[in-house]
Amino acid sequence: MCQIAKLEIQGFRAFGAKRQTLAFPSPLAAVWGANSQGKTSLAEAIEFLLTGQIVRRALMASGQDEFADALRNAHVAGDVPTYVEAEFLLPDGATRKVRRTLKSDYGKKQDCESILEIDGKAAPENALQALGLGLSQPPLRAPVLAQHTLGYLFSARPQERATYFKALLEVHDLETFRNEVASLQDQIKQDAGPLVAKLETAATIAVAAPYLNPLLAKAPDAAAMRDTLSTAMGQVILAGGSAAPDGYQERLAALEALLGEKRAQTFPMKAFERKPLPSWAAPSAEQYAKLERYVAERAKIDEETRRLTKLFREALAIPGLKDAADPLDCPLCASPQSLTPERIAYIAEKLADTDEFRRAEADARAALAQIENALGNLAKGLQEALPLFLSSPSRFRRARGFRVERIHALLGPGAADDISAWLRAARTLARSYGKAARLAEQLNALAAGHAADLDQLTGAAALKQGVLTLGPAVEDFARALADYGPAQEAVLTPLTAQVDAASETTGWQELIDIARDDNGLGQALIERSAIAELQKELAQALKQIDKGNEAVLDDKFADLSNSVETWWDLLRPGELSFFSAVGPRPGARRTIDFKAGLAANADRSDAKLRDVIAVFSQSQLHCLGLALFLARALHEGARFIVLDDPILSSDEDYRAYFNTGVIEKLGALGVQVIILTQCQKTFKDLGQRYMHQNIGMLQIVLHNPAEGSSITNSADDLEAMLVKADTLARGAHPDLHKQAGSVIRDAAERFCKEVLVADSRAKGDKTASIGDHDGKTLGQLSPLVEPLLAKDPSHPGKLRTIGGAVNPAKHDDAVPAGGVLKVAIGDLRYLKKTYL
Amino acid sequence: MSASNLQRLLAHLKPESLAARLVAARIDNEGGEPKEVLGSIINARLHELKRKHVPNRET
Repeated sequence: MCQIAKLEIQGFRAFGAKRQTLAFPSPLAAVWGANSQGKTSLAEAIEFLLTGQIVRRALMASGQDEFADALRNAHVAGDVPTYVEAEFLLPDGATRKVRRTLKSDYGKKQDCESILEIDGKAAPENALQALGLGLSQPPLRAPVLAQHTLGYLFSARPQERATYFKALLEVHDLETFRNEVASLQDQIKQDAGPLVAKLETAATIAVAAPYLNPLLAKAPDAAAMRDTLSTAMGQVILAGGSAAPDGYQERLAALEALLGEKRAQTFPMKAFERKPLPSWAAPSAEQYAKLERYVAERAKIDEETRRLTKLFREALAIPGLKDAADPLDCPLCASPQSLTPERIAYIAEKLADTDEFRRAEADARAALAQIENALGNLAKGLQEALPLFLSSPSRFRRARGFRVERIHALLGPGAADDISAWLRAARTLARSYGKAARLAEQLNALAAGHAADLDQLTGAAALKQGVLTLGPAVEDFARALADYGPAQEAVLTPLTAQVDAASETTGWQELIDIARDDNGLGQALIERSAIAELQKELAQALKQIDKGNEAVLDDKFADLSNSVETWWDLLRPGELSFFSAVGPRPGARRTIDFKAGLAANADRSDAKLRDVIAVFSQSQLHCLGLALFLARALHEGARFIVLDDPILSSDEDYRAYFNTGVIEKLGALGVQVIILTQCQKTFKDLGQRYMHQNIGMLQIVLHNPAEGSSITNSADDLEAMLVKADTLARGAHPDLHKQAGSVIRDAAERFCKEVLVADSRAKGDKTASIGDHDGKTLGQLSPLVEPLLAKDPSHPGKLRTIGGAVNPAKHDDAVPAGGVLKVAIGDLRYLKKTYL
Repeated sequence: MSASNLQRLLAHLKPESLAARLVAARIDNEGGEPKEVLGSIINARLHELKRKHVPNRET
């Protein structure tokens, strides 16, 4: 529960510079005020506090500029702030002060501005929601029902009524959800895939169609798939005039060969074939380092030693020579005893000195071999990346009939631009190939030269420089190749179709492609079938969701109708013309109609339905407006409502129903109700009926526009009477004294009644009320009350004296003296203070 | 997004239908990215359908 405990208003519309305070001691309060005393200003003050606006301006769209400077009281001095402040009682028992101060008033064209504070600190607008002060949809956002808002629904277009009930009928989230589901259709709408497309093309081959078409209807298992494709290939080969071999792979190869032959009779399509450009790894830093190390190690050993190294190694390899203890004959020149152990040791020492050199030499040779190999592969890869018509000699092309004129003839004049673009790309490709191939060949020759005559190697610098030149050339070729691909495809695709048509091989290539990837085709067909079924299921799901969404909206309309009907029946029970339903207009679910039932029988069994606007009286429309407001406010969780003259003064019957059934139900639901009324009867009836609930009774009066509306607490009616009596007693005219005497008598009677009610309640009679003593005079009441004035022996006497003092006022010829009246007022105030 | 409307919608749908599965997933993942939440249901159903189409084939 979030309810208003206290309200303060200053400078807002009818309220003047003096701050006015309304305390609400219970969840029920009635504020009485005659016409033009500030009741609507009070309702709008609460509206302004919650929304920062007054809805009356929004509803009068054509006259909004007439609300310029409408919020601030015209008579309030400039330095007096205009604000509305409320103390809210929260469910946890805490109180929070919410204050809205007007910063700038409405202008002719602009909105007003205000500052919202909670407990003295500036707060954003959404902070109100956090306090449980949630607002409804615009324009009627606050739970305040005023005369100008009560009729809104009936003056608004039927489409706008939907906005009023938007929160009740809100299904925007369902529409969002529906759109989210609908967008899934795009998500699962995908191409059948290249393999399925190829199957569809292959199935156009007349002799293969009987075998391939069933695949499109249902994917078989892997073995059946292979059998089917094998049969289809066999049929095509036979139809092509060849004998079909037995095996699957054999049939595939035979079909490829047959296709090549047939195509070649029309055009040498093979000339377009090319391989992907393989990646090329430039020589590594390690390889360069090996060459440099070899050059460095070589410098450490003299040429003579290097020259003799092989000879030394061969000599030491002679069995028994290395470990000989005695001189041996020289194996080279046969000098006797010339190889002494000392000389053998010398040779071994010299050989050992060349170990590092020999290892560096081996590494260098290996590195050069790797570089040569890589460059060779590069050269081969560059060439193979070219289409065959570029990499082959011109006589090859001529011999096979590869002529541009032939391509023009096959494709027709419409392909001229594509053919020109393809030729330009081919020329660019050929140029870049020439440069890269030449550099690769030069570099390969350099590496081969190094390997052949290692002694002449002076370092890796020349190779490095060559690679630095070759690298960009290879990159240029790769770019040219990337540009060439689409250009060739633009010619090759239609050319293939033409050639296949001319050679009657349409669909053969596709049959070969799917036969090469039969497993992939199987997966693609399964995917295709599953997606097709899923699309059907999703379409069905969308229909179900659409139907479900409509059912949800129907449910919500039914809920709303039931809720409005509940309040209507409380306001106007048993009428033959009654509210029947809130419903969408057929075919326009955002257009709301209010239906009335017109019955001739008490049980309403024969009711005819009509639009309420056409058949309801003003009084009925008024009640329906109230019922609609209550249904909406309750549904949206309003914990307090403000009703400005909810019942027409002339509607005596419905006032009683409102004061009983409606107020009691709202109380039972825990809703705080603040009723503003100009109807004295309503006000008094509420005061008497709900005194036991400690109803707040307030009055609003506007004595002087410059001072603004003022609030008095009428629950303290006695004080109001005393104030009035005091004012009259101060006057000089005898008639005023007579009136003062009459008011003092009424006040004394009121004092007695309140003392008696308080005594009865103290004794356990919780239903005791002022009304129990209606019609009793002061003379009758005083004896009953005097025994209760026991706090001082003088108190009963004061009451008796008051009665005596005001007696002359009852007679036409007797006028009470001013002093007597003032003493009586003082005594009565004293007794009130002591006993109430 | 208010779950109450979706709960009402769910009550109007055939249990275990694709529509009901989509609504239930949206309710269970109120703050989730709709495309992911609903997409996971669609993917799961696609997987089921693939299995159904070729019982003898691993999908």
